[in-house]
Amino acid sequence: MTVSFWGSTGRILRVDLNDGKIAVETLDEGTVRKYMGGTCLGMKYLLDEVAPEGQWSAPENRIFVGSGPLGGTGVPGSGSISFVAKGAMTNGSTSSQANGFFGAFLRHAGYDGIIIQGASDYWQYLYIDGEGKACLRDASHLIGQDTWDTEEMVKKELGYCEHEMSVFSIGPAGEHLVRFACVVGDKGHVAAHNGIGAVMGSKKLKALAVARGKGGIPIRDKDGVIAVAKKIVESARETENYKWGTSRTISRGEAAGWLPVRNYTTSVFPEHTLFNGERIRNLFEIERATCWACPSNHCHLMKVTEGPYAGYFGEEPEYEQWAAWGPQIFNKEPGAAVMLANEVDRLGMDCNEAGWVVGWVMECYEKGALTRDDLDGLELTWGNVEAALELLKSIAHRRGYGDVLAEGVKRAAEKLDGEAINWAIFTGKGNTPRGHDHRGRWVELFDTCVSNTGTVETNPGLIPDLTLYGLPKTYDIFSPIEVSTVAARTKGSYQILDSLVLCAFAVNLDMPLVAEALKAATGWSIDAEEALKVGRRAVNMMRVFNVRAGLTPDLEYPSPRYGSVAVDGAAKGRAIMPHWEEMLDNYYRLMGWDRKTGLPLPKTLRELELEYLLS
Amino acid sequence: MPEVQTGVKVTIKIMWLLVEEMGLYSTISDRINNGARGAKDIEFEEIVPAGTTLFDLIDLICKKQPEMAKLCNVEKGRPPMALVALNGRIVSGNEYMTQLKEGDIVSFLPIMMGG
Repeated sequence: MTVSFWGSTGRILRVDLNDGKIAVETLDEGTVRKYMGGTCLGMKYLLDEVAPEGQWSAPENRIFVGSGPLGGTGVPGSGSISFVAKGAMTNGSTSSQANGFFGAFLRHAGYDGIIIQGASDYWQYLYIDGEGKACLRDASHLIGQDTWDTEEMVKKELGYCEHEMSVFSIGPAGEHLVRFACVVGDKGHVAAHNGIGAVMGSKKLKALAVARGKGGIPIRDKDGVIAVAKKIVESARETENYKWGTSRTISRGEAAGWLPVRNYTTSVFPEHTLFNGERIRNLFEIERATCWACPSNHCHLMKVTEGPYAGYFGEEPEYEQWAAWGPQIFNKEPGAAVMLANEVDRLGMDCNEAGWVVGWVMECYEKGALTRDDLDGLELTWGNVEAALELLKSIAHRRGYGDVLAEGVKRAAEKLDGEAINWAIFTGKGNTPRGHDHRGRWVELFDTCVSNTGTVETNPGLIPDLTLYGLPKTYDIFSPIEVSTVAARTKGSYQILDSLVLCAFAVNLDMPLVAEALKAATGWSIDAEEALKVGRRAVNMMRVFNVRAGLTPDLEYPSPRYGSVAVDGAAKGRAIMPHWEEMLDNYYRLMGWDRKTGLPLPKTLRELELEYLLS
Repeated sequence: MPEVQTGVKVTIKIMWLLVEEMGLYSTISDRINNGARGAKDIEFEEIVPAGTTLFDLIDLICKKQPEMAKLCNVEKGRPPMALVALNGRIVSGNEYMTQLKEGDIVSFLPIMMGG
């Protein structure tokens, strides 16, 4: 192994789909230390190479697929991958991550990342073998295949077995440029947000495949990295996710008023106990499935054992899938939620946006704003799972009214006359809220609206120690000032993980431990504060790109339903909108951003060594 | 002589997820009659002096039951390490200074983790 500096392969693969040329570029240590990898490094390429005012579907758009300095090491969750592009939902920057193995295999093949540019005239997929040789291959025979079948077909035709190759692909939704199309790989791991799958589809790139190679990872202190990895593993075994997956969150959310039920028309869902991970993992048949180097196994493979979908086999849904395909559409049958979650993954759509779309259609159907005739004969009553499945297929293939819904709930609602716009859940920028009723979770409601990633930017609920961010140990979840302060102060916490490209669950957002691992891997004298600065750098880079792209502060608001007041449940009567401007004022002040333009102030950019973005 | 009210009876509920999360499950499992799968809600009544606020109640519970200090006793005047609901609605701001009334139900719920 040739090592020019520790922690990085020093190499980026550039693929130009206009002419099929593939080239290897080098990375220097200064660039890696400043941007790390994943999200932050991807944003550097996006800012350097993509005109912000352009369209997401233009060939000039880039997709950066990146690992980071800890990728492929023994650190749990270091096989994750970060996708960066100009996204289809907001036409602004996207940072979306998927777990699995791709990031580890990419690093073993000798690359920290891939830049994809241009657009092909015909469908292709990218294949990187274990030694790092890359080529584009014809993908015409894969068109129409779902993401799981594509993965199997690519492995089979290239002669690889399970876990000898990682494949991330788009499904029919990405092929048809559904705005909330995602990229799915390693059987159910999803880069879901801001239509990264649609961007791949616009380039006629069906899949990315990388074989597991034997190349080493350039680590300065292997024993040091292993020691930290062991600490993380020990810590992970204590978590609820390890034991029960994320679905216990269903019960947490119902109790605290942030479970999305029937498109935010209620917050009460007594059936939450049916979806609880403790019950599900004891009831359904489980097949262990882990990501790279991760003991957490927060998602298994699962066979439904009771109800009308008994026998269905797929990935155990994550919380947000349970939420979308359970309470949000008022389905009370967990087996049906397993089926819908997996079918949506196979079609290649973001479960969050798909859930808001279907829930909105069901409410419109109930209230007469959409009829059976409008919906091509489907009866979209609450909880009608089979009708929901047919609607989702129509969306993925842009058939009938599905063509309208494929634009996402915001754009679809804007096309429908009358009150229906007031029932849709979206933000002014067009990005998609995660699968909660954020009226009981103000920090994420606020953050989703001001975010630059195409999804939420921070989630303080998962941060084990807020004092690291200069905050008290706890905060008042309905205090406008405390909420906007927490949103600002914790900025960068997720983006550094997305730049190191580590799974937040696997490392439990333990920044001191992550910094320790980074120090061992690179030999740099780096602490949690410097690492977090990289995360804040990424946030500010996205902000600059987005404002230049037209995503200005006047778009930072929730839709009427998203920002409404819950009528029942534990968050009943809490109204965020009277405080909105006060929250924005406080947030902008703490972020060091100009309240009118939305841009970071010169002082902020200088502190983050981003002076070059001043012009 | 009319009876002088010296105390009010309130019901305290601790959601089962919190019982487990805070490590209370193993220490007071005999009180909660847990089944094979996880903990049950804890529910008990307290008679508190008239004029007791929610903040006072949190302090009181922490003193009486050391396990509860883990989930409540963070910093005087700050929200505890759990969500507190009064009669089913999560408490915020000055509502922590609300004086408890006879029959009030104070619930402790897990914070926003997961998802």
